[in-house]
Amino acid sequence: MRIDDLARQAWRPLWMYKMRTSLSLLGILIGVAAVIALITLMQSASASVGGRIQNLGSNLIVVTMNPLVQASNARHDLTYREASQLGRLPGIALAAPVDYETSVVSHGRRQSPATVYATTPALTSVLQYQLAYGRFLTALDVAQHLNVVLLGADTSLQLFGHTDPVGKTVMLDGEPDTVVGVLAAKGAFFSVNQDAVAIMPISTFRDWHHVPQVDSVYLRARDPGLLQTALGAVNRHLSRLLTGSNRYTILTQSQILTLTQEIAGLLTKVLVGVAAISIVVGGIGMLNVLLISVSERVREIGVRKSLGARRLDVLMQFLLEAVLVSFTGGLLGVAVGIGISVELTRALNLEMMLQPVVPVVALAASVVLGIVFGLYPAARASRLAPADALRFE
Amino acid sequence: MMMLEEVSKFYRGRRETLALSSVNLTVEDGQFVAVVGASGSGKSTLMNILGLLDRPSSGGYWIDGQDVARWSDARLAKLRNRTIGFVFQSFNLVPTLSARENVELPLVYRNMPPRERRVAAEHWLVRLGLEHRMEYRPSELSGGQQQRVALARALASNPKILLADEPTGNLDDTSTRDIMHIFEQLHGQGQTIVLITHDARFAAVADRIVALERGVLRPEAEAASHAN
Repeated sequence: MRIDDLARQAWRPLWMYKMRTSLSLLGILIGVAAVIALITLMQSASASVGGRIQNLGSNLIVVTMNPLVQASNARHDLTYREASQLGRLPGIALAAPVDYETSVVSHGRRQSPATVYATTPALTSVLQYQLAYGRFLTALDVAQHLNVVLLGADTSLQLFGHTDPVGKTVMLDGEPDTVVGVLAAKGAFFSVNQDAVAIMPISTFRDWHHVPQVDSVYLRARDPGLLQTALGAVNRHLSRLLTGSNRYTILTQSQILTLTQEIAGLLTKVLVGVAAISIVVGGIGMLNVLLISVSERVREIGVRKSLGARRLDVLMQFLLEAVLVSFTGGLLGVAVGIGISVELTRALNLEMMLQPVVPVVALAASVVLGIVFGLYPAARASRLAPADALRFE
Repeated sequence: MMMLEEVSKFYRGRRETLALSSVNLTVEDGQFVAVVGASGSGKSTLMNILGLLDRPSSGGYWIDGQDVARWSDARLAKLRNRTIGFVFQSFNLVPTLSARENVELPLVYRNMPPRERRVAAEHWLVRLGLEHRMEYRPSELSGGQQQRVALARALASNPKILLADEPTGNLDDTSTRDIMHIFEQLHGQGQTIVLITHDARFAAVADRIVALERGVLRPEAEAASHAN
């Protein structure tokens, strides 16, 4: 049979029985759309997180104290003074001890949940924050244990709307604090809103909570070339200072980046696996509809054979029907997947990263699936004996 | 010329059924043969074997001197396409295709270019009075019109033999007379026809009448009296 005739013979029943065709391509459509949306979302999130980590600078070092150390007589806490002294080690330019707390900041009746960073002026330099209003913390704020606070962009927006809140008073942990500045918006980092924050002097925080140890120390090496020197010095110093094992974790920007990419890669694999399963389930749905279609058209197959159709003609017609269904499903799935990706990345404020290979591979996979799942019904149709098929009621 | 020699056909199920028993039948070119018989007598089995839709369990089948009983499926499909035109009781038009496309179908399997087969299809549809129904789908046609489309499809491939299985079985009197008239005309033009029918009036139009009884072909004189 000529290829154009084959295509016409395969297309016609698909067009005539639109409901059946739509149902059989729906599974493939959903599967392909899910694959594309998930991969695009993961890649966009990963690129965005990676970009932000890179923006932190390649000379960032983060020391995190491990809270789960069990050794009873081991010394595993780092005091504020000890943390600050890390700044004097060879190769280190700045050290910012940090205590964290999740709390609620309020102004009048308005409330805003926020992560509280109790730290020194160095943190804003280490993490390269920008200001929207007012000023950063100063050494004087810390030295004089002042009740002052820097608000994140979202926290400020919730409490004060679009007005400048500098000089106004907010309540934090039951204490009044004067707003001295508002940070420029940073967006989400690993789905954590970096703009719902309050930054206050660590000295004031310790007066309130009487915590002897710090949770983390953010350090900046003098320059990227001195990173290894700085890391070695920090490690040696902390090993001498603290006893017991697993007392602290040191991460550099490149390690954070690698770790993030590894997590993102793993998550992508898991999600692609789930989405691939959904494509296969879609393929099984299509197989089911094709088998029904063959059993409904047994007589037609008999007629075609009586008119001179060979086994191969019938096989190719039904196989092409399956491939047309899966290709159309795949094509619509690509369109829907891209549409979902655009909307999701817009909603999550991410830059969309869609590699052209993703829709191409998804489309190719759906065609292969069409061939694989179409082969059995097509072979069944082609093997029907014409006399038996014509007798079929 | 078609020639069946000692053809038997068994169906194997829980019990073996004998559908045809040692049938000998020769149909000369240009002959109009009517096969009569009760339901279950083996008429359709005979038509399936004559039409190369089924193989005999034993015996020989020659078409124009070629022993086709052991041919491959693909070779039989090709021979069927070029030699035999079928008309069925229940029309058996492909529901997704228009009248014209149905008539073109055997030519599609012959790889005939679209323009040529369109001309052939339209020629037969016009000849059978369906010039205003060419683009209609089977569901939009009456029974008589559908059978004429089926007849056009059988004739469009210019077959050596026209095999018709109860072609008027589902038709009213007017359509039956129409179809009978067309068959007579075709026979007048030299078309070889094998007709399976219950209808004695229709069988009477044929040159020869053969009767099947429980798979056995009865002598022609008895068959003629049976038909009358």
